[in-house]
Amino acid sequence: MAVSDPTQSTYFYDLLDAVQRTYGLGDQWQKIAQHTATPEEMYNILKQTNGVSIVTNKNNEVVSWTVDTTVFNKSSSAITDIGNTANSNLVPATSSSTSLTTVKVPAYSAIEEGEFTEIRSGATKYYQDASGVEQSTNANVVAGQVMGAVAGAASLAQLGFTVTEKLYEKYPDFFETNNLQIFSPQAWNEIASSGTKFGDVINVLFFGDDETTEAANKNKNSIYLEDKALAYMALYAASKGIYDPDKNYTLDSGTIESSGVTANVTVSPRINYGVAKNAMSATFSVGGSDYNALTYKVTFADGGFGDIYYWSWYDYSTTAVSQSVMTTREAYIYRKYSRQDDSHYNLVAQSSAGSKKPLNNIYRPSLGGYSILPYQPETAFTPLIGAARTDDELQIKSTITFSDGTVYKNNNELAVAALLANNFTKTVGGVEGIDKQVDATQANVSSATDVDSMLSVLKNTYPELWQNRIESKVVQPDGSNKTFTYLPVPMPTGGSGAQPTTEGATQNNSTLDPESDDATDKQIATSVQPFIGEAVAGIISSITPTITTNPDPTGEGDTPAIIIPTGTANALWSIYNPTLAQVQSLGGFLWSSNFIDQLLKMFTSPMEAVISLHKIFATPSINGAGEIKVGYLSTGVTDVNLVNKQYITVECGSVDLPEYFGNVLDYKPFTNISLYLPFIGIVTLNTADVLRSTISVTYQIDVLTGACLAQVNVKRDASGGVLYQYTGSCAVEYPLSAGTYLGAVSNVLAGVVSGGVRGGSLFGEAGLIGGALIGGVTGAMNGGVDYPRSGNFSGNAGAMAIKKPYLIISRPQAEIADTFPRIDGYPTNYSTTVGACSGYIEVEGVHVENINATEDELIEIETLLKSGVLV
Amino acid sequence: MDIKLYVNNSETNQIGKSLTNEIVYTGSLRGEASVIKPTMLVEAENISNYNYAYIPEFNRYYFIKEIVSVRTGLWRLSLRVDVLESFKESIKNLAVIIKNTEVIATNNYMGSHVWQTNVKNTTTIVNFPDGLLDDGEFILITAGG
Repeated sequence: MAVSDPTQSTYFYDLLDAVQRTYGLGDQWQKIAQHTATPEEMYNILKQTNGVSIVTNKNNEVVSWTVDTTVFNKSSSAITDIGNTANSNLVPATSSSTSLTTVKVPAYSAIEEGEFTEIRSGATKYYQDASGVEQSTNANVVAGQVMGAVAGAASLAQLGFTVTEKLYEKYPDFFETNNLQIFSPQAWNEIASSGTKFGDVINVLFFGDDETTEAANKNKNSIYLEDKALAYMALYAASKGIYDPDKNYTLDSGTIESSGVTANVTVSPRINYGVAKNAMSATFSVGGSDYNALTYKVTFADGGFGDIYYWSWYDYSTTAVSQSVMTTREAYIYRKYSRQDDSHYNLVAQSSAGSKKPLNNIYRPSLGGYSILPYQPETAFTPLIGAARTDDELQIKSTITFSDGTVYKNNNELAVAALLANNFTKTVGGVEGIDKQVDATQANVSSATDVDSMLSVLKNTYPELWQNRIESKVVQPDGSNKTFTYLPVPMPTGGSGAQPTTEGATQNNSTLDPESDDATDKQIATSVQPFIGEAVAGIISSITPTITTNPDPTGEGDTPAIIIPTGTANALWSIYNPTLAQVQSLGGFLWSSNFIDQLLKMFTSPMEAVISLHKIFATPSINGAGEIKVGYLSTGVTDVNLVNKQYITVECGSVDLPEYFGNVLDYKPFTNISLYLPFIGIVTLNTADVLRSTISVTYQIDVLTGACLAQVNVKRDASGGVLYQYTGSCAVEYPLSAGTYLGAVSNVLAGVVSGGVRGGSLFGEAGLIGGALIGGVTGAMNGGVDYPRSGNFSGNAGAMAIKKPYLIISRPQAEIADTFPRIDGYPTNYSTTVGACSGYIEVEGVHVENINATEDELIEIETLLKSGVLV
Repeated sequence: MDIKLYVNNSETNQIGKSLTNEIVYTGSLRGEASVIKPTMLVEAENISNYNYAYIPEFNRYYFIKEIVSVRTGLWRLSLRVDVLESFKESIKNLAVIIKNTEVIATNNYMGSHVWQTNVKNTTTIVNFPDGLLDDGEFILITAGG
């Protein structure tokens, strides 16, 4: 989720280094080093310095200057274990997430009396000393960007809320960029920068090493979020209702309309408990028929859990149908009956089709006898519904009126029964999955109507945030300076970048140690949000529903398990793993007169007893040591490792392969990916197959023959398997006779002549150039065709080559115009209305209708929309 | 009829233009007039600084295509309707499929001419952490067990 290296300190010298690499030690470098550049000069110098980037918000204000140290020091991707990410599409590209440092760029020049004075650094950390006096120090911070969702969750954590996975079960797009952005586009543009396909990013600072003050160290691992971003997220979340105080309404009396009959209901006080969401269905069989027993999980006032069971039963004698709500702790049967004598009641289960069957083991009052599960006490009951039903199957289409006047209409019989049975308290407000932290302070945001007013509210509520702020003065293109204020917020560590959860991140714990595993388990607030079917739908009506017409963009499935055969016919041959010295000793014995005399009694040639001597480039599986025996003759060469398995596996490890550009340029025909495999050669991989994945290479080697099989496992979206397999030979044969030598040489020559037919695909697929894949592609002048990078690497040739696999990634150099979003726009294929857009749009399709204009005007409207308009 | 003149600094394809320096004149149509391309005569000292107009009676906004000084104090304006401004509220309600966008629903993974590259490339090598042995192991296979 976070995309920076917090261990790096700010180094002005990194900036100087970058300037030097670009300009040398000339005038530009000296002006930066000696702080004699005017703001305009500095801006122009840095803007063209290789490796130095400016980060702007969407209003094109410069937010920070960064130095990409990986330009000079190749470092590994900040992304790890991509393969196990549930949705690889959410892994950010490395070119926008390389290790960055916020540079202490000279932020402003103080002009006094017509002359430039000291140019100071940009970032200042404020804190309070032991006496409560505000102090300041240079801030060693690292610039970074996080997805909007992460900033949102971090904000909520600081504001005294927890975010759990439950939020995304119902509202998967709660923090989706469009939802955040559309909320207040103008304010959004002040805090966000354009990100990748997956939305805008929020600029943050990560605290690096700072040993100057204890206070600074306390917040060592906090992230610092711009104050306006915090206020924005607070305003956004408030609009969704998370700040609404719990409102509890008690149903102590109500009106139920059932089949047109109105009856007053009085519910005797019962244990107050809320009803948790998600009914669980259970089926049971009675007399061979299956019935559904709907249950709800409930929490009792003393914190215990139980289930509510709902039955409706039919009275054969009176034809009265009643409802029952029973819990696993206490059973209260509320019945509708037409006579006082309940001795003839039989409890039955009612199927959805209406057929009724008696249940076994049902407690029947006044008859004593067997208990039921759940247990029903012998207590007096209060009539639930006074009116008799009119048909065999009770169907309640009920309205329930709460004491606050709210009316729920509910078709759910169970809901009705549960509400009535449990002296239901309705809680409104809030968003499921966002709960209040215990012992946290939530601000009173009722007066906040915009970002500025929310900012005021937060300042008054959380003054300690501003006491520990970081201010960054950043020079702008016009030479002015803009001050950005960043506040410490806890970094969420759970979930994903698009759906983060605030595990371990709380208002009182902004010191988050990323290396610690003290993050608590998912914590759910003690207040349980009631959820009964449609009743809650109206509470969250303001959240924009997501309409998904495209399939889930993640893969699934794994290839079958690899099972290596076992067992060897070790009665027919013996396999040894001798050292060089042992081989030489064996050779001496083989050609001794004593051995030859003995062996000639069994073999025509002594070499018939030695089947093979070769080298493999893997460690065989050894089980003990022994003496080399040739044709059952002892050779006297002892303590030789005995190989006990014919097949061995060599793991070459794995690498992550994230996108680099985060756009089309990562894929063919622009980017090509090849893989060098020892003893096989260089093979071409399909870029679309392997990007956004974790690639691992495994060799299966036949010790007996030297045959090797390289398996390329591609894991993506937490699934995948062996997508590529290549064969080769990793055995180097040693000549034991003239015949064996000639055979080895001919094999080598055959491999050379064939030019690489063995060992996998050495001539990769031709790339697609021009309009076949991507319409109007230009500039892909070298990326379309794969050129063979190697020939056959089997056996003897492979022994002289590199023994570790490596990827060769050939990428283009982008020449994307900075202003293209405004002039040409990003590509898209999105359905919306013109009014919901902002900025430049070109329309693909539109029906110009409901406009009172002439035909020519209508045609012109369509033409203009399709040629591009500004909204 | 009245004609309101403005200075328009927005792009011609902007929906919702920024109009300033409003001034109202009374003008007369010159002969038969098209609602889409009217020509009006306006008495005024100097209106050469204006480039945009609104005619309430036609309920339309116009680009000023040409300003001709007929004589001192009399100007002839050739206008062309600006459909985007005249019908902007209705246009905003139109359901569309957008194919290029600056802000909303941007997609970095669809083809477009904006993804430009030069003829050069960069090569990145990513090594796997492990591999086969640099030095091999002898394997001797002899007849007999």
